[in-house]
Amino acid sequence: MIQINMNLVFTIINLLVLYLLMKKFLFGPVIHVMDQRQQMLDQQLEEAKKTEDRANELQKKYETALKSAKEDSCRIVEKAKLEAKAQAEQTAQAARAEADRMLAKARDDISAEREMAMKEMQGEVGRLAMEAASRILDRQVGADQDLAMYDQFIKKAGDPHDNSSC
Amino acid sequence: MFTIPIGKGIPVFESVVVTWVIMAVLVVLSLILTRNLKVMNPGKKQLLLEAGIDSLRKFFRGILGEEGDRYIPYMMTVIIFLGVSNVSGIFGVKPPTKDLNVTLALALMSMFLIEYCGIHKKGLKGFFKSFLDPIPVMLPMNIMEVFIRPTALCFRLFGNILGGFVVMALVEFVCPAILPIPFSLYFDFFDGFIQAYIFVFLTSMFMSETMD
Repeated sequence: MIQINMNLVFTIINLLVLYLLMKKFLFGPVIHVMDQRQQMLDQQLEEAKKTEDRANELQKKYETALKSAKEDSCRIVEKAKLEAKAQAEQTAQAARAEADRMLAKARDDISAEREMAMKEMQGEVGRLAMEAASRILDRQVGADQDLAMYDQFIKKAGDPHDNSSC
Repeated sequence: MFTIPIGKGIPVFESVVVTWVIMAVLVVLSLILTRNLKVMNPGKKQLLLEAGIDSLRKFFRGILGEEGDRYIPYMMTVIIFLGVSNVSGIFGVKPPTKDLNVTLALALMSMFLIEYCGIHKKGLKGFFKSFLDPIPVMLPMNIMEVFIRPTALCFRLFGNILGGFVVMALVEFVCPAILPIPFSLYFDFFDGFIQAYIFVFLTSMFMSETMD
C-alpha cells in the first residue's frame, strides 16, 4: 500500500487538469458574475450619490431664490408704504393750503364789502342829512356855514347813541 | 486498478481512477450549477453557490492578503477536491487520499506553490536571501523547512484518512449493521472535512509566511 510510483505523476497531472477545469467552469463564471454585480452596485451607488448631490444643490438654490424673493417683496411693500404716506401728506398739505387760501380770500372779500357798504352808507347819510337840513332850515346860508353844519351833523349822526341832539 | 501495457506495464491505481471519477463529477456539477448565471435577481441555487465561493474566497483572502488573489482558485480547487475525496469513502470507493501517492502529489504541489510565492514576491535574489533570515545560522533549518513542510502536510493527510479507513473497515467487519453510522459520520465527514481544511489552511499559512 505504501509505495510511490508513476501514480504520483498521474495525480499531479490530474490535479493540474482539475484546477484548470474548475477555474474555467466554476470559479471563472461565478467570480465574473460576482464582480460584475459588485461593479454594478458601485456604479449605482455612485449615481445615487451624484443625484443626491444635485438635488441638494438645487434645494439650496431654490432656498436662496426664495429668500431673495421674500426680501424683495418686503422692500417693495416698505417702499409702497413710504410713497403712500408721502403722497397722503402732500395731499393733506395741499388741501390745507387751499383751505387757508380760500379762507383768507373770503375774509378779504368780506372786509372789502363792508368798507364799500360803509362808504355808500356815509354818502347816503350825508345826502339825506343835507336834504333834511335844507328842508328844516328852509333857507339858504353861506356855503361855508352849510359845510360846517354838515360836518357837525355827520359827526353826530355817526354816533348811533347820540342822535337826540338833532 | 489496471495496467497500461507499455514496456513492463505501468500500474494505474484505484486512487487515480477514483480521482478521474471525482473530477468528472465536479466538472458536471460545475456545469450544472453555473448554468445561466444572472447578475440581476440570482436564483436560490446561484445565491447558494455564490455564498459558498465567496466565503471560501474570504477565508483565503484573510490568510493570503490581497496579493494572494491569484492563488485563490488553486486553493479552492484543492479544498473542494480534498473535501470530496475524503468523504468519497461513504460511496464505497477507496478515498484517493488514502493513497500516499495522492497526498504526496498534493504536498509537492503545495511545496512548489509555497516557494513560487516567495520567488514571485521577492524575486529570485530576495527569495534566496530570505533563507538567511533571521540570522545566517538558520540556513540549514530554513532549507530543511522547505522539505519538512510538505512532508508534514502529506503524512498528516495520508495518516488520518488511512487510519479512518482502516478503523471503518474494522468496525464494518465487526458489526456491519448500525454501529458504523456514528463512526462513519466522524471518520468520513468530520475528519475528512477537518483534514481538507487543515491542509489548505496550512498551505496558505506557509504561503503568506514566505510572502512576508
